[in-house]
Amino acid sequence: MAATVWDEATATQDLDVVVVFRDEPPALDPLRPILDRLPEEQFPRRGEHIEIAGVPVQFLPAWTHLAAEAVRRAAELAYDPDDASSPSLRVIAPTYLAAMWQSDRGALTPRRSERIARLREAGLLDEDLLKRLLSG
Amino acid sequence: MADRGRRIFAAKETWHREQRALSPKQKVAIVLELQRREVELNRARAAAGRPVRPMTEWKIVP
Repeated sequence: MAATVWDEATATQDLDVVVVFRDEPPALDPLRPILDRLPEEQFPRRGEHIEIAGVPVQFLPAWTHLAAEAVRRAAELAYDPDDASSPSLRVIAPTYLAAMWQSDRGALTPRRSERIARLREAGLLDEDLLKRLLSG
Repeated sequence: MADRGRRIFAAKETWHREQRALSPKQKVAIVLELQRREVELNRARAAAGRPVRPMTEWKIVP
């Protein structure tokens, strides 16, 4: 969804939420702290997703230091800037998205390469930061 | 011909710029519409015996 926010919208099946835990989560059941706060009766499980308010959400523990940093430095945006009472969203910033896609574990698909090119063309990438993130 | 190509490319660039300027709420509305179309296409794919693409329509209002 972050890619859709910064670039053009595409059909997506679920909403991925990358999470960083304050305390070390159980190694074999890292999502337990979240699952315990979302009772199944109210938030039905659908395979790897939890349905929240009609949206299949997949929680992903940050899988690398880069993913964790991307979450910590996420951009905060108004969901609807025309509405003063709009909730805000935390969305992974474009440079971090590009770095995550281009990193070893990022699965750089042709579509993602195109997105990176468009984000670069639009001036949304911080090239120095990107270099640093990819060399780290 | 080159001029036509340039005009098409410029139009595409404009379209991408407009897309980027949309709010998250507007983007969600587009995602919902794309999901609806994909599910519709899946019906046609299934009817034609072709593989379908996994897609779920979110039950929300943007």
